[in-house]
Amino acid sequence: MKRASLLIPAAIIVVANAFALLPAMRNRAGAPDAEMTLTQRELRYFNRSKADDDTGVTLNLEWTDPTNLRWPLEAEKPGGWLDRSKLQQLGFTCSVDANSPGAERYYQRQRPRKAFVALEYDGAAWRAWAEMHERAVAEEKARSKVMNWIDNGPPPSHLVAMDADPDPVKLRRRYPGRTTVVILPAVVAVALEPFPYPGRKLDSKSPTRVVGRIQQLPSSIHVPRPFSDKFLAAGKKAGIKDLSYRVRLRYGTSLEPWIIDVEFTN
Amino acid sequence: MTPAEQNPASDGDRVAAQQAADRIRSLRHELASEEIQSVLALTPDQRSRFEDWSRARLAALAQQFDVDTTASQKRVSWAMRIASTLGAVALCAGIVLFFTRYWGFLNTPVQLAIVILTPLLLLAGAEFAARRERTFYFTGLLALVALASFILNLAVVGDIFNITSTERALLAWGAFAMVLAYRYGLRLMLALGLLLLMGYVAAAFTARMGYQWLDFYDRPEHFLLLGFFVLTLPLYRKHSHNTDFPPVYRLVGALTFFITLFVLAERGSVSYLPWDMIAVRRFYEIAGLILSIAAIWWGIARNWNGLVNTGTAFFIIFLFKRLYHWWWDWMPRYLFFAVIGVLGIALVVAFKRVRARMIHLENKGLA
Repeated sequence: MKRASLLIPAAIIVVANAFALLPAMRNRAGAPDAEMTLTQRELRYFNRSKADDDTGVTLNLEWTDPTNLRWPLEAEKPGGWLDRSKLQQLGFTCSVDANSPGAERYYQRQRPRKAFVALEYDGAAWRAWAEMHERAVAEEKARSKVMNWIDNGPPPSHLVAMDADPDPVKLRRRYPGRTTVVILPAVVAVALEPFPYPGRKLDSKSPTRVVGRIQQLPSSIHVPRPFSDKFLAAGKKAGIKDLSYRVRLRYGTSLEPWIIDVEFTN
Repeated sequence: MTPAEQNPASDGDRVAAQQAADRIRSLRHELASEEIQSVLALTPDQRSRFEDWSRARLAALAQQFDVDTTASQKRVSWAMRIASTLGAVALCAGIVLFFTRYWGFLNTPVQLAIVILTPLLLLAGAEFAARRERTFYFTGLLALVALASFILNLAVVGDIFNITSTERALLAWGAFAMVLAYRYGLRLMLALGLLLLMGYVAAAFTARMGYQWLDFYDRPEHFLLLGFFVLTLPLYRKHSHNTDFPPVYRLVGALTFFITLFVLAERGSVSYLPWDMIAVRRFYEIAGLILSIAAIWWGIARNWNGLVNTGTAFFIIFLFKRLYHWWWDWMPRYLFFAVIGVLGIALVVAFKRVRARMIHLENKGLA
């Protein structure tokens, strides 16, 4: 009894680590689900402040929502593929008409759900978004001078969300390109667009619709040594803003990523 | 047998020993008063025998259980308890910051070895301390740091391997805290363990329903059931050892229950109930008032001071919340606070009457 009760807490530590490490090993042991080379646009390296004591290096996965453009631009087709029927497929109940009274409370009460999202790298989805972006910029420039003084921020990621499904296997079957399409676990939320604020007049040209949005994707990617050393050294030498690199990323059977190579191009 | 059971092996645990010491101390004090001496006249021989016995008994209790035999010792013990808890919190922060400061310079196997071995070593340290002390100040400190290291351990493993987070870590941490709490008789560890396990149950249910486990507080009603379950758990599970654990269960359970009730009364939109938001708020407000009165009544009937205090605090919170919503907007501020003050006095009068009735009933029983 005495020894058993001493061994239990030690066993909890060992078993918990085994439960974490064995699936992680299995994730990396099997055939990868996807393998692709991404750049500083998709995997952003943020420099830490000097006061920050953390010496670890982390890259942030950036992705582009095909239904959104940066302010003040407006998308041509807000909502996009994550529409009512897709949301129903993901488990949301969208039986209430978006323009009916009480729809706002009905959809607000629905909690975000787990799903799997397919993101395509540098493919047709990216090209469609880039064209839409260019047209929107041209229109905005013609309309006002606001675009001339707006800093449009860092170049957008070429990784574009294109589909979702509750089952990752079905999603992979639909998108078999393992070097261009990555499948990630995500959290999807339902919303009304435009939101029917109290007092808002009904507009027959743009009625309220049920739309989905990807609320969360696993974006933090740990950089192990020796790659982290390269980032720290390159960051000191060139400065974070000017860093240009390619990262070879592999997603395993559990859709968890790890870095297999890093190449600095400047 | 655990170290917590080893120490008080002969006649109950350390808490019982402390209670016995307090009773003897109080008896010595009372017998020395002139009023008692006028009623209960002890012969010099009896007095001397009592003095010898009580001194020897207190010395034995102090020797065997390291209990406090004077009021000053009790104050110092409290200071030691606070110091060891604060020390443990500071050490936890130190370990986490030390690791984050240097882990970038280490290879993955070394990182893993450090984070896995640290809680194991601290666990061994807690066991070592427990075998050498009877008051468990250092044991409690090391156990708390071991729990923090274990939390760091799983967080770092998840980070290194980019593992999609799950609620299962809460189960491991909660189970670890509970085992340490029972092994060493640590109340703070018990409270942490209960909170972690309640979090796990709510998160597992949330994940099972197809939602993100981290959103487990989006529908707080789970915590009403869990809080009530924890509150009533000591009724089903007797604590012959660790006799000071049931009040911890009741406090954690009651606080969880009433805080959840308050959140639901404040933000009706997060409820499972498919009613209008205002109706949900009113429902939980009224439930809060009724259930806090029920908690006071139950606490008085069972002689559970913690539950009486928690019930009273939440009854006042729910009452003031309702009054605020009724009157704040239209009533002049001075009048609002004056009415609250009058209500406070009315509550004191009501409690006084309850107390007088209890004294009357007790006197009747004694007669």
